[in-house]
Order: sequence, then C-alpha cells, then structure tokens
Amino acid sequence: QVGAALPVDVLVYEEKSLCAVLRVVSGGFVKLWSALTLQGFYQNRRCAFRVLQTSPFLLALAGNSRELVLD
Amino acid sequence: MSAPLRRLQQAPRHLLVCEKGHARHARSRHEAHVRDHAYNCRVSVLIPECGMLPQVLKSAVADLGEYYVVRGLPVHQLLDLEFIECFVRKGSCYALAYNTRIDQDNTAALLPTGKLILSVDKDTYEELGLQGHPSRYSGKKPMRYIITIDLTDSNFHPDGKKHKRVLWALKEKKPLEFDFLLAWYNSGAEGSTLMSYFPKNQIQALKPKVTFSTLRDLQCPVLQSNELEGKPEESCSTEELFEWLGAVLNQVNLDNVSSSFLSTYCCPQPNTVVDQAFLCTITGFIIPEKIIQLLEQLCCYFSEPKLAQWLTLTVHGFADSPVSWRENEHGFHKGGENLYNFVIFRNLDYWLQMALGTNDDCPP
Repeated sequence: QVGAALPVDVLVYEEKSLCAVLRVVSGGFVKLWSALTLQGFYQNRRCAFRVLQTSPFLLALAGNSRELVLD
Repeated sequence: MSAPLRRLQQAPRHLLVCEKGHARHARSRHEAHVRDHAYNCRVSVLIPECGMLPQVLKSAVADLGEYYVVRGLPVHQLLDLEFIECFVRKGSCYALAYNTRIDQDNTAALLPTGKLILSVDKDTYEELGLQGHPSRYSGKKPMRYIITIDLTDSNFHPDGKKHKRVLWALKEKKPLEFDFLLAWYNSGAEGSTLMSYFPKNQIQALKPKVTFSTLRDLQCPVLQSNELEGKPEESCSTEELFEWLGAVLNQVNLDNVSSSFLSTYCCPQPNTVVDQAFLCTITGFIIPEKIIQLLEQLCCYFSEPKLAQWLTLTVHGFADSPVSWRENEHGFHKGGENLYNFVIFRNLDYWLQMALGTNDDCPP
C-alpha cells in the first residue's frame, strides 16, 4: 500500500465490450467497489462503472449463470 | 481502528476445500460429490499437451442429451400424481426455476431425491401458510424462508391431508409460477417423454452448447499429486492451481512482470510451457449423471501413454440455486459461487476442490 492507494491489477480488458476483470487484495474490496461506484467523471467526461460479478475466486468469474442465455 | 473502519476492510466470507483421492479406490467419493451437486450451468475441460477433442471424449460430448425449458409452469403441477409416478419416482428428475434471483425473488427447485424446495420471501411464506424454516442467512429478522416438500413421502398422496393442504396453498392461496429448466435421466429408457408430458407450446427442448478451442504456448504449473501444499522449487499448491485455472478460463495474460503497470499476475512457479492445450466448454443445464460419464472418460484418457501430467474438469453451479450440495442451503451475498474442480493425474490420483461463497455451508 502506498499512502492511501491500493494496488489493483487489471487482469483482463476487452475493448469491444468495455469489460474488465480487476483483482484487489481482500481488505481493499469494499474500498475499490465504493470508489468505482462513486467515479462519475474521467478527464471531464461522464462515465459509470457497473459491477457485474465479484468473487474471491477468479475461477468463479468464468461461469455466470445469470448471463446464461437460452436459444 | 474504529469498528466501522475495520468493517471496511472485511471481505465477504468464502470457503475453498480440497480433497485428495484416487479414482479407482473403492471408497473414493468423487462420484458421490458430483452426484450431490444437482444443478450445473457450465462444465470446462482443460487438457494440456492436446490439440483436439480426444477420442475417449467424443461419445461423452455427443451424448450430453437434452434439457427442457418449460415457460410459466405453475408449481402445483409438479405435485400431480402422474408427474410424480412417471418422472420423480422413476429415474432422476431435476428442475430449477430459471431467471429468478435467490436474493430477491421467490424460487423453486426439484431435486432427484424427490424433494421440492421453495425459497420464498416473508410475504409469500405467510400467504402460502406452509410449514418451513427461516433461511440460515437471513439475519436477525428472517426475510427469507425455505419450504421443503418430499414428493416421494408415503404420506404424500392425493387422498392425504398433507397433499391436499400443499395443493390448496400452491393452487389457490398463493399460486406460484416459474419458467423451469428441466431434465430427466432414466438409464435404459428414452428421455423424450418429458416432451410429451407438457403441452407443445409450453416446452422447448435444448441441447447444451459445446465449444472447443486450442490454447497455444500455455504456461502450466507443475503439480505433484501428493503435494497439496506444493513444494518450493518442485510443485505448486492447490490454491495456486485454482487461481491459475481461473486465469486461463478468463483469458488472463500470464506473462506479466511484477513491475507491470497494468497487472502483476503471473503463472505460479514452477511451471512449464506446453505447445498446446485443449479446452472444451459446455454450457446449459447439465445433470450430474452426464458429468460422471465425462469424468469416467477423462480417467480413461490416461489409460494410454500421454504427454500430459494432469488435466482438469471444472463445474460451475447456478448462482441462484436454492441448494449447493445435497440439500445444503445456498445463498447469494455478493456472489453465488458454488463450483468444483477436479485435477486428474496420470496415475488417476485426483484433487477435488470445492468453492463456496458467503451464504453457504461447508460441502459434505
């Protein structure tokens, strides 16, 4: 930890869907989620972050039954 | 640090257990664990040093069978004597409400043991008037209740008081209706009779989606089956393998350096680079019987000499299922994970890792 900053890993970033997978230490989970929720501007442009799925297991993010689409 | 600030640093509770066994051991519980986990939405198989679908898996993947979606099915129809005699008492019938959220909505599931599980909010519970118990993860003021009805109970027959009460509650007092995912397994009999039981405009047959891909130049951790904790310089631990597998299935770059600006995740050491690895992904409503067949064929993969030292089979459960293993209650806190992963070694030793989230019990 450097000052109040938390090291966050951007494990995956997909430009097409604008989706990313972030990794943070457990103690920083609440802080990171709160920071993302409150981030409304970036470089003077409006933006919003929506958290789709969280898990202590990276493997759990590979299968989200809430996104299961039936033909 | 004050209590509120301390709470900011608390991450939700979770559990990862690992069991070691041998697939050919008489008392091995690998099949029992698979069988106990009724509802599965995704199965992934990763085989290092393999470029295409192996012969042993061809028939298992082709024979995944069908599952069904029944729209707007009233729950009381699952109490029909004909349905119970044809599908619940014979073979294994699986049903799970689709597109309901366990932390917000009412939901229902039918286990192959014949138990109908209703997970309902407080208002619905009071309106239904059926006997249940508060959810274990409901806090001081119960806002969620679980009602379990044993459809195969000898006392539960159409002339009995119990059946009449339940039917009245679900049909007239507080009718509950869901879109259900259904599957039926009966060895030796055709599986198409669910299709003929429900009206044609209500039921739709679907096949699990299967995709294949070949990963090139993949860094794979070195593992030793009897070293679950890993051995420095010699093998990786089960947790490191679990995280690495998550990285592979999520297409995370394994090549970062610790000073990288974006990500510091690296493949655990020691590792080897394999030229190619085969990844097969199956999504849908997959029943345990089919997963056991896949598992058995994966054990047969090593009956001939292979370059791979191990392979993995990962199964994800439904986040909104009311149960995880057996009848253990499952909930959704910040996530609904209930998944397990097999690592099968050349000598047929296996590691079985089971992962659960906050609102979950320890797996059996």
